Amino acid sequence: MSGYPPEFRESIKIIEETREERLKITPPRVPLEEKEELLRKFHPDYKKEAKRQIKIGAGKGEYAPHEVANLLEAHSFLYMNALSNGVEIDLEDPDFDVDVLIIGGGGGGATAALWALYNGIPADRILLATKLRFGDANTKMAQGGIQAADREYDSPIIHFLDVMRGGHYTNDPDLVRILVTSAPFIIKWLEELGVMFDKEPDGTMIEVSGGGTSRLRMHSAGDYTGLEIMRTLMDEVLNREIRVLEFSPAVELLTDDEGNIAGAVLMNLETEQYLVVRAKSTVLTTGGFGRLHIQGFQTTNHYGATMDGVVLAYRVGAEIRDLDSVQYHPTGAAWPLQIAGQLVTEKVRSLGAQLVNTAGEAFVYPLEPRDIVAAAIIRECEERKKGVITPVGTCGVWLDSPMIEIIRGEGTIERYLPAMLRQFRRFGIDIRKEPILVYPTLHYQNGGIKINTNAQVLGNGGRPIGNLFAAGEVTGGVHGKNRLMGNSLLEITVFGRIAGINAAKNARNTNVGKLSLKHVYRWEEMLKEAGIETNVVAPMILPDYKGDIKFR
Amino acid sequence: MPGTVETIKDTKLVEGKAVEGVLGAGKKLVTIYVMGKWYQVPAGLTITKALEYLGYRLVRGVGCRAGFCGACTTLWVKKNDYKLYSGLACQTMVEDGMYLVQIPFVPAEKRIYNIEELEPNGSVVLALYPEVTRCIGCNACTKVCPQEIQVMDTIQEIIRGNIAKAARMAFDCISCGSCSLRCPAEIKHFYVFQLVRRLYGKYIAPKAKHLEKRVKEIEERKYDGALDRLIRAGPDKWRELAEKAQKDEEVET
Amino acid sequence: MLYYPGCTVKATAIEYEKSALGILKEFGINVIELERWICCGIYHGLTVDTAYQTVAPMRNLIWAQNQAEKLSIDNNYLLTLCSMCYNTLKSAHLRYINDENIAKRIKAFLNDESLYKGNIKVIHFIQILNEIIGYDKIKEKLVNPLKGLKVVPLYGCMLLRPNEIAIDNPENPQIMQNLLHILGAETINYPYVNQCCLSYLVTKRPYLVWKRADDITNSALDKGAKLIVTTCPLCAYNLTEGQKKSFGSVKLPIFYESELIAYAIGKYEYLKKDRLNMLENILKGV
Repeated sequence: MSGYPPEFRESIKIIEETREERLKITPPRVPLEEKEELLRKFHPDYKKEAKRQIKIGAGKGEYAPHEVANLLEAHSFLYMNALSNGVEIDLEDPDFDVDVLIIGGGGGGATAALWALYNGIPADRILLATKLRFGDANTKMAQGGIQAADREYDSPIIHFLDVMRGGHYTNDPDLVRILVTSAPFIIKWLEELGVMFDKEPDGTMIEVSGGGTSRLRMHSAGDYTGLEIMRTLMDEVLNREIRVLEFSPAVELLTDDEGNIAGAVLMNLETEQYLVVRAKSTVLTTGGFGRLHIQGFQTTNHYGATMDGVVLAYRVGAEIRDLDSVQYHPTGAAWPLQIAGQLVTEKVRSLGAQLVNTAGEAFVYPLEPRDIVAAAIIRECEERKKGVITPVGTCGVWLDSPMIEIIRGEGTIERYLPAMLRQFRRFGIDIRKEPILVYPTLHYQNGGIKINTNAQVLGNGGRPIGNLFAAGEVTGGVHGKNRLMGNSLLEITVFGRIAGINAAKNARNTNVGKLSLKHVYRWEEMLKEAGIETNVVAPMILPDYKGDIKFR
Repeated sequence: MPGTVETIKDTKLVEGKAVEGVLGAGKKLVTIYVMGKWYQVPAGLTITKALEYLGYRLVRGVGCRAGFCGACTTLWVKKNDYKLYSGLACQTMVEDGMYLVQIPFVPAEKRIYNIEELEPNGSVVLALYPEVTRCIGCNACTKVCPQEIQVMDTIQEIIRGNIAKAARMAFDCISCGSCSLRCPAEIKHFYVFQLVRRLYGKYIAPKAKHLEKRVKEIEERKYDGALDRLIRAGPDKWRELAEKAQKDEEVET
Repeated sequence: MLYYPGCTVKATAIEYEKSALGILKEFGINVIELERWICCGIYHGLTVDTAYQTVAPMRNLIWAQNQAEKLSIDNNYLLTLCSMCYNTLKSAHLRYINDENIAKRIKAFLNDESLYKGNIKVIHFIQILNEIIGYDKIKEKLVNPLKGLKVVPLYGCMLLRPNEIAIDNPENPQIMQNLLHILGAETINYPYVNQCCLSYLVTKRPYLVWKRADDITNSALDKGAKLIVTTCPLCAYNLTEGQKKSFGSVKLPIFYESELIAYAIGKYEYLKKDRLNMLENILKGV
């Protein structure tokens, strides 16, 4: 029995009937002159009404989606829940006193912790605090792979060019340079830690293509590249006996009397106690904003992806960039609702599946860049009304996966997409026989807080904020306005390492003064001065899904 | 049956037009028992969503919500069925008559080792995790694995020293711990598997020679001059060269 | 016929497997390793609940039965090299077909899998040599008689006890000696011929095992033996390690019977190089 509701039957029939004809054609590429218009009219990033100018802070005047701006213009969680109610935070007697505090327990945080250790900070002088479990992060969910130009036919220069092209040349070239020149070293480091990369019998890495990469450069570990990297890093952090504090998100950074960063206030999510951490260096590796459901989109992201790190850094004066740019993955699952928004990997399209509307037309070349494909799918739904309307009123188009079995032979899906096959089978859909209903899904925070090549967070006028470092999705600049597949796992390990090294260096030359939360009181005053009236309190920590059934 | 629960249910049905026919299940409601407590929820919700629909705020027993992280291990039994089932809450639909509990944490201790000092053989694994030899072949582990791993067979490969095979067999493990909860030999499979995979990745899999070569080239600053020039050249040059690279042409800087 | 290797054979007694399977091939016996197998279940031999210790071996028997059906192998033999595995698998088979109560509980426990029909014949390597190939056939192929080589056989306990599964008279076994005589060797009587090596006590009380190894070795040395012959990888392991502990090195080498046969019939390719050299050195000194 099919897991699709009876309403879908008719349109699936059209897909089946037109399949043979469609097999003979390659859907046309979008002509260059139409691309701009397609994006402008249908890509969510180009929707003016979905954004506004930020009214406060270092990024004042910049555009950001309302959901992002709401959090940047929000009240302080700590102020609202503690400081303004007379709950005392004892800054004189910190609960933890460490050299390096790392906030965020994904791949970036784990990497930073290890490199701080390698650079002379003892394990018990490092504290890695994380919101949920250690390793619960988008890192684990990265399926595609990790890029590195390590073959004769490739070079860091070509990798550089691909990254820049992907980001529409808006990237920070100095950061990109570090990304591409550190990549081979990082892969080697991971290999030495024991990551099971896919290899030929002689040890040569199996490397495949990814959207927007001009050379075969994608290293992978089966369908689970991110998971394999994350669990290996975790294992090493635990072996080195670095202290890990789970279920303890940061709710505010701390400064010292000179305005440099001096640690953070954490909250034990279970007991709701506040914990004061004094640290000589603080590293933010908190990830991105998928769970803000910008413009009501479903997301591929982890439960904890709520942009906390950007909020905390913004309040101590960090500059931001490219937060107006959101990456929508064109093919998120649109049905069944149980997995709505979950990633349907690009691989399905590269293996031969076409995107088809209810008229049975393959309406877009399936390997156009992500933003183009996403816009084309939205056009089918919104303008041409050739999308499938689901029983809850959402829309999607068909990704004709059975074509793969016809083009590449029976058994191809089982061999190359086992996780995907398992995923849909759980809900009664056999993607070898039935198409997949897809719609764009919120995937990645392209921008974030500004950093320099030492992973120092930049404040007013591009000057580093003392003792504060950041790496990964929380930062902006590496990917410009659009990230390519395979560069996020690379970014977190490359810049996690740099942040760890520099945090260690910094800790050796720093003495933290008296701890202070002055900047929080100042923030609340600034809100008043700017005339902002809001009920929003940030960091969000976790999305509120109580009573919700819309979002997965 | 407690009336309050009915109220919650009814409100939701009216409020969320969504619930109507959502998930292809019409207005059908199913009865579930959350830690013994009676509730009704729309059929077709995953366990995670059903709990949120009921007003639970999840902190433990929730993670990536996509079947990758293993945080939402859930145990349940069904009416008129003695079996104890296990699965991921984010990937499992509620069923009528389900008695369920989310597992907030699987008690297990990771053994500490220095990977640099180990050898890739079975005795190393057994020395760190001697309980592995207590496997009695009951196969309870395999039956509950949401990733369809042959858990018992993997443990057995380790006992007989076949690290390479065990590492490949255990590759899809997401460390949800369902197997360890059921194991009468008290094996903590996911930690054992982690060790085995690292031994394989580090010692058994052959090293990538091209990688070493490229790392050395970069250390010797082979690309520095070209990158300096390229970055100075600016966006127009980048665009020109990037388009060339896309056409698989040689790129000269 | 189907072959059940067992963990110890795969982990520490590869030389046994190599020589034994090689010889069987020489005598025209085609051996197919089970596609799927787990530890025979010996670790649980001492659990109080006999149903519990039957689960693991029963799975192996079921898999053997299914594979035999799939491949249309109708002799239903399941070959073991390890004495431990022989004992465990055979005992489980007997318990299952003789004890209704156990069978019922096993069936209930394994209710998701196929049923055991009770017709797998677990057979040990020596039994194949003796009963299926026949010692005469081995004699015909003899090219290097082990003339003048004094050896002591060590049956261990697992092939002889309990009585129901014994491959020979538990108190006065002769099956190994008979073959050794055919190979041209001289067997020496000593009190430890069917003694237990103390098996897995090695993990818990190793000093007892070292003492036992010491006793066996000294007794054999006193009687002028040049090597110990066994068919049990665990006996071999405990004696080798025990000698290393007591004497600093292996004073009296332990050989598998299959290795001696391979040498005697001139099939050196079934011997590991170092083992062949060691054996040749011993024979030179005779």
